Amino acid sequence: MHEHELESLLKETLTHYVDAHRDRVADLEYEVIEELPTSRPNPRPRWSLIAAGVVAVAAVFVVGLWVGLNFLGAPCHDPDVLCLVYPQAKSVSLASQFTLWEPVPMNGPDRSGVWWIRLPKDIKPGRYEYGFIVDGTRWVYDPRATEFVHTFDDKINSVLYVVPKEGREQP
Amino acid sequence: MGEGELELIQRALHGDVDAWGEIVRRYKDAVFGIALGILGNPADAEDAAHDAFIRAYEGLHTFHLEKRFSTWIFAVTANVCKNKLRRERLFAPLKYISKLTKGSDPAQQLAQQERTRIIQESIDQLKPAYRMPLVLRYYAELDYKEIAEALGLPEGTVKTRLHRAKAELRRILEQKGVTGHA
Repeated sequence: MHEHELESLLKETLTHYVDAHRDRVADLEYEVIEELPTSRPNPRPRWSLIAAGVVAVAAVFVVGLWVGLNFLGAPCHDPDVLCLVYPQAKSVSLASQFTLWEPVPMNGPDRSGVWWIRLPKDIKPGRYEYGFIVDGTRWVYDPRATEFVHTFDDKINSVLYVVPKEGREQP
Repeated sequence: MGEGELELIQRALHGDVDAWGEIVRRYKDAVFGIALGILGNPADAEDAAHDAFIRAYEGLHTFHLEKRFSTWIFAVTANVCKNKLRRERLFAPLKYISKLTKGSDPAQQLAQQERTRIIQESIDQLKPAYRMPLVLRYYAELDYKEIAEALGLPEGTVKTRLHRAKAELRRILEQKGVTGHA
């Protein structure tokens, strides 16, 4: 049997075999979603591995961890903060109309790989386009934005609306 | 990376399970196919596909956003299958014969089914170390480099295993009288 014949047989057989059983995964996305936690878990130590006898020490550790996560993590719940999850980035900057497209380094990453930056306090109400620059070269739009625009050089900008009093509409 | 895929992954990283559901919808056939090819049993493949997507979601922060997501999810799938094989010692021959061609000639259809059954059984007779790269190459259509990444092997080892896998498969098929396209 020639090489190409064997390869063709392999492809054909595997494809047919899978096609015949494809129904089994018809609802897989729903089954998977049902099992996922509603909030993304952060990497954390396996508590089960910590000796059962040191409950008191473990409790102190839990409290410490909670405090650490709340005070050291990115404040993405704050409407005045822009965030980007990018654990592998070495640096992330914000570039926007309100920075005159000058890259402004973002804080981070936190332990979940989130980079963040607080909007300037003196930012004026209005519509601003913006994006993130990863590792000094890669333009990344904000997936949490509610509006996007295509630029003339075929990139995508996110759009932020700064509202005068009632707060800022942002991703 | 597919259209909008990076955005879906970013949303999933933020805890958006619906975004992950869309990823599952896009990749479930490929992931299931790989699992089926490696495990040779539809029920086990279904479990493995399910486990692979849960594990991938839990470990999504380890995925490098610049890389191809398909290679990464296939690697997760291959690992889930490898663990399953190791855990359950699942080396039994295929028990499920698929309903295959839709040709109008019943005799031809039967012959094609029989031929496919023999080939499936022959693939399943291969050692998992040979079967895994074979499935990733000829079902998932990954290149050598991607298979090497997925299986955590040097590229040279992947080439060697694929070569040996095909030689072994050819030998088994010839023993069973399958010599080429009918």
